[in-house]
Amino acid sequence: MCNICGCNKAEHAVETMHKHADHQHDPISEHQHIDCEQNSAAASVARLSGSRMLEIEQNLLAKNNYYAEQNRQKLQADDIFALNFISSPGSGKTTLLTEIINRLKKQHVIYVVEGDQQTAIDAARIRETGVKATQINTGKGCHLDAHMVGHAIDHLDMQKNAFLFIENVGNLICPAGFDLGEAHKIVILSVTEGEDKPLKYQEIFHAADLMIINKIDLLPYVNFNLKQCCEYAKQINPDIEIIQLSATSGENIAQFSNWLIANKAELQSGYCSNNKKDL
Amino acid sequence: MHELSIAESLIEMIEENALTHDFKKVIKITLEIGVLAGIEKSALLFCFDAAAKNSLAEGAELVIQDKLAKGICQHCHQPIITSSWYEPCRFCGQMRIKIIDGEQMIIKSLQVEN
Repeated sequence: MCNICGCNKAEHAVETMHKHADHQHDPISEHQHIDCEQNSAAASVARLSGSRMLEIEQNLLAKNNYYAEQNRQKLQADDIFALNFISSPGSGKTTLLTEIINRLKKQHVIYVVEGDQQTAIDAARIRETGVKATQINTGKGCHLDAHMVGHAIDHLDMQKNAFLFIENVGNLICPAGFDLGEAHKIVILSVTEGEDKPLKYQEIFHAADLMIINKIDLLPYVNFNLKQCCEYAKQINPDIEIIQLSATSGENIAQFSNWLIANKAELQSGYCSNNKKDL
Repeated sequence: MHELSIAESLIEMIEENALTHDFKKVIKITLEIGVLAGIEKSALLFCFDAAAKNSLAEGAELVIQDKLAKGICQHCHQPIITSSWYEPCRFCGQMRIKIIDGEQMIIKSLQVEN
C-alpha cells in the first residue's frame, strides 16, 4: 500500500504500471494529506458517552480537487497543455484523436491517456499513430478521477512543452464534476445523437469550454438540427465555443487543430488562467 | 452512476474523521447537495447503503438537504433563484445567469458515538 495516498483502495489499474510497492510519489512535503495529519490529536480527545454532533462542513470532492490541483501545477510547470475529452460512447472520440494526432505529430509532442472501463483497445489504436499512450481501466468506475490521471501522468514520463489528450470514459454525465487538472474540458457530440443533448445533460455542456459536433458528413442522412443544437448549448453555456467537423472525412479538422495550437500558445503565454470556472 | 464514487468518498472521509474526532460509529450523516451538483438523490441513497457496508457508517441514517441554486442575471443584475442552467431571468427574460451557489456537495454534520 502506498503510505501517502492509500491508493490500494482504488480499483482502477493503469496499464503496464508498477506494483503498489513500487509507487513513486512526490516527497511527503509536497504531498500533504488531510487523512494522515491529524491522527495524533485523536488520542487526546476525551471519550464521551452517548452520541454527539460534529459540524464538519467538508466538501465531498475535496480529495479529487486536491489531486487535480497537483496535476494542474505539475502540467503547467512543464508547459503541458492538457485536455479532457468527454462524450457519450460512440461519438468518435478515438477516431478524432487519431486524426488530429496525425496532423499535429510532426510539429508537436503529444501524449494520450485513454480511459475505458475495460480493454486496452483504444490505447493500442492511439499508439498506431506513433505517439505514447497509456490506458486506464476504471473497472466498474464510470469516470476518470484526478488520482488515476496523476498516476498515468507519472507513467507517461512526459517531456516538456507537449499536448496531453485525456480521453474520458464514454459517458456524458459522470465525468462532468471530476476535475482532472486539465486546461479545458471538450465535449463531443455526434450528429447521430439528438440535438437536445445539451439540455438533457446540462452539467457537462456547462463545464466544457469547447463543443465539437462530429460526423457532419452524415448530416444529409440523419434528422439532426444543427442550428438548434448550437442554440441549446449556448443557452446552457453562453461562452462555449463550437466546432463542427467530421473526423472521418477530414472536413473542418483544421479548425480544431488551429484551436488546439492557439489555446496551447495562449496558456503558455500566461494569458490564460488555469481555466477552472468560477464555482 | 458517479453517485457510487461520491458514496465511497463519503465513507473514506468519515473514516478519516473517526481518527481525528475519535468515534467508533456514525448514527446520522447530514449532507448539503446543491441542485446543480449533478447528484441524483435516490441513486446516492442507494449507493450509500452499499458503500457503508462493513464500515463504521453501516446502518447510519443519510439525510440529504437540497440547496437551491442562486445566480445573478448578467443583464439586469438582479439576484435570482433557479434550478437549472438555462432558466431565463424572471425579471428581464435574458438567459445569461451567473451561478453563485448551488453546485456544492458538503458533509454538514455527523452524529456519532464513541
